Amino acid sequence: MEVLYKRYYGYLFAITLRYVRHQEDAEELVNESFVRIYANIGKFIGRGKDEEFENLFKGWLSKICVNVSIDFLRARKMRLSLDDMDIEDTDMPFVGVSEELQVQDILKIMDQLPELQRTIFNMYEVEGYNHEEIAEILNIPEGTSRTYLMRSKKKLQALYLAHHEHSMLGR
Amino acid sequence: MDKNDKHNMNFWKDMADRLREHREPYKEGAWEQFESHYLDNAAPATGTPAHRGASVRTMGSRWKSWSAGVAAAALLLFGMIWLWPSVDPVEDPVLVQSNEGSPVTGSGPEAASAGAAAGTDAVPIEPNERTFARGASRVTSQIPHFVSATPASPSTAPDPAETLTKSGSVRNELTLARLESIQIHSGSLLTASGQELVANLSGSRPGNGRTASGMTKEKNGLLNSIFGSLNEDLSIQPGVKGDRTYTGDKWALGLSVASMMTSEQMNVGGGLSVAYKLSDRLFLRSGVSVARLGVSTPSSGNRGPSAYVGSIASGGSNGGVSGPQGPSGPTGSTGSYNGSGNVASISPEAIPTHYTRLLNGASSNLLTLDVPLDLKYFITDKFYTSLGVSFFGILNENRTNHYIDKINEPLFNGYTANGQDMEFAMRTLLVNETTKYRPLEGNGYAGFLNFSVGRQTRVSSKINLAIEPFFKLPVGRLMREEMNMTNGGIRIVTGF
Repeated sequence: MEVLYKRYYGYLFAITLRYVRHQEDAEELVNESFVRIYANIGKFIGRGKDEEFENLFKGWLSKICVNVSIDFLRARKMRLSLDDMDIEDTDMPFVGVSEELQVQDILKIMDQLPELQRTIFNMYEVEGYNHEEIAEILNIPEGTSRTYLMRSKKKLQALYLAHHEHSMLGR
Repeated sequence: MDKNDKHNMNFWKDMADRLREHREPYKEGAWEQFESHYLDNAAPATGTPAHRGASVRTMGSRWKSWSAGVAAAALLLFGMIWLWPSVDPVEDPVLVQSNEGSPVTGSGPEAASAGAAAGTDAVPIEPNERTFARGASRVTSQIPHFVSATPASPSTAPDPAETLTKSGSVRNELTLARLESIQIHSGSLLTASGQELVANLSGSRPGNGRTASGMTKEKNGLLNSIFGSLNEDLSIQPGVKGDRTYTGDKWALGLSVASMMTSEQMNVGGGLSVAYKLSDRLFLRSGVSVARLGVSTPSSGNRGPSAYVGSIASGGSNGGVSGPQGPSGPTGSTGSYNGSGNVASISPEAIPTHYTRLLNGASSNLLTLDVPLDLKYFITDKFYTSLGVSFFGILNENRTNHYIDKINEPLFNGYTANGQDMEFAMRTLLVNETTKYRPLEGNGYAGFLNFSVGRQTRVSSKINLAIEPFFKLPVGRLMREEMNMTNGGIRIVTGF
C-alpha cells in the first residue's frame, strides 16, 4: 500500500490540483482518492502488458481521482451561474503554447476560470470525457457543457495572451 | 478545417498534454499522515506489521465518527442548558420562596421562627430532577472487501511471488514485473466479501516469479464472477461514482453553538439548522435552537425605584401590603430579606411602623426555543448575510423581582434620649424574590427579527465552519414586554 501510495501520489495530486485551487483541499482529496482506490482495487481489471497495463491502471486511478474531486466540488455547491462570462463570442487569434510556459503557469491561468468552466475544460480536454459523459456526471445539459467548454477556451486564450504579453514585457 | 483551427487544436492538445504529463512531487510525510488518519491498524495477533493488517477506514466510517462526535457535543450542550441551575442574574440572590399571602419568612434563625409563628411553611425550591442521558456510541466500520487475510505464520503464508491474477488464461499470465509499481506487501491478500480472494500485488523485486501458481479453479470462478460484474461497472461508470453519500446539492445540515449577550448577561445556546438551496447564492434556512436567556427590565440606575409596591402603617396586619401592583403579581408576596449584608426578621408583632416596598426591577431566566426562518445570501464565496424571522417559545421561566424595602422602626435599637442617631433607624434592604408569575408565557406570536452576517470556511471536504455575528430584535408580543429581549452575539455553525 505504501509503495502504491508513494508512487502515484504525485500523479493524483497533479490531477486534483487541476480541479481545486487550494493545496490543502487537494491533499485531502488525494487521500480520499486513495481510500477509494484501496477499497476498490479488487475491482480493477487490467490487461495487456507492462506499459499498457500501467496506463490502464493510471486511467483507472485518474477516474477515481476526478470523481472524488467532482464530488467535492458538487458538495461545495459548485457555481453554475451562466452570467459570469464576459468574453465575446468572437474568434480568438491563434497563439501557440510557448515552450517557456510552465505547467504552473497554465494552472495559474486556469485558476482564473470559473469553477464549472475549469472543470469542464479539464474533463473534456485533459481527461478525455465526451460531452455526454460530462453532462451526466455534472448533471447539466449537454449543450451547457459545450457552451462552457467554448467559453473556457476563449477565456483561457485571452488569459494566456495577457500572460504571454506580460512575460514578454518583463524581459 | 482551416489553418487557424488546426493551430488551435494543437494549442489545446499541447496544453492538455502538458497538464496530463505533469506530476507533483511526493510530499514528505504524506503517507504517514494518510496512514494515521485513514487506516485502521488491526490484527496485531497475526504478527503482521500494522500497516499490513490495515484496513481502510472509509469516509463513511469517518463520517459516522464525526456524526457521533457532533451528536455527543450536541447532547452535552443540551444537557448543559437543561441541567444548568437557574442562575439569578443578580448577584447574591436571596429569596427561595414565593408563597402568596403567607407571612414573612426569613433566611436566618429568627426569620424561621417568625415564619413558624405565623403558621407558614417555607417552600424550598425543588432541585431539578431532570436527568439527561449522555454518552455517545463509538462507531467503527471497515470495508468488508478489503480485509487483511494475512496468514498468522509465515509457514502458512502464500508464496510472495503470487501475483495479481485475472480470470481467463491471459489474465492469469499477467505479470506486473515491468510495471514496478503496484506493490502491495507480500503476503497480503485482497479479499472480497471476507473471502480470500485475489491479489498479492508484488513484483518490484526482480526475479520474482509472477505466475498464478496458487490460484485454484474455485478462486478463478470467484474472480470471474466478481470481476465480470465489476468490469461492467467500471466501463460504464468512471471511477466509483456514488460511493459517497452527500446530503444532496440542495440541502445542507448544520449544528450551531451561540454565545449571545442580552442586556443582563452572557448566554449560551445551540441547535440544529437546515438550509435549502434556492439558487446559486440564495438559501432558505431554518432549524431549531435552544438557549438560556437572562433578561431584565431596564435598570432604574440611580433614578430611584421604578415602581411603588406598597407600604404598611404601624400596627398593620401582615400581608397587607397595599398599593399599586407591580410585576410581582398578587399583593402580599412576602419573603425573607438579606439586603446589603443585614438580616432582618419581621414578625407580625414587629411589623414596622413605616415599611415601604418599592419594586426596583425584575429579571428573568428563560429557557427558550427558537425556530428561525431566514434567507441567507452569499455575497461572495465565503461571506454571506442573513435576514429573517424567528418563532419563539418559552419553555421555562424563572422570574425574580427586585425590591427596595425601607424599614425603620424595628431597626432602631437605641433611645432617642441617649444620643442614638436617627439616621440608623431607616434601613434600606435590597430584596430579591422569585415569583410564580410568568408573564412571558402565553399565547400570541412571539418572535424576533434576525440579522446576521457570516464568514464560512471549509475545514474539510465535508465540513465547513461559519462564524456568524447576529442580532435579534423582538417583535410581536415580546416587543410589548417590559423585559428587554434584544440580544446579539456570535454563532458558530458547523455545516455538513
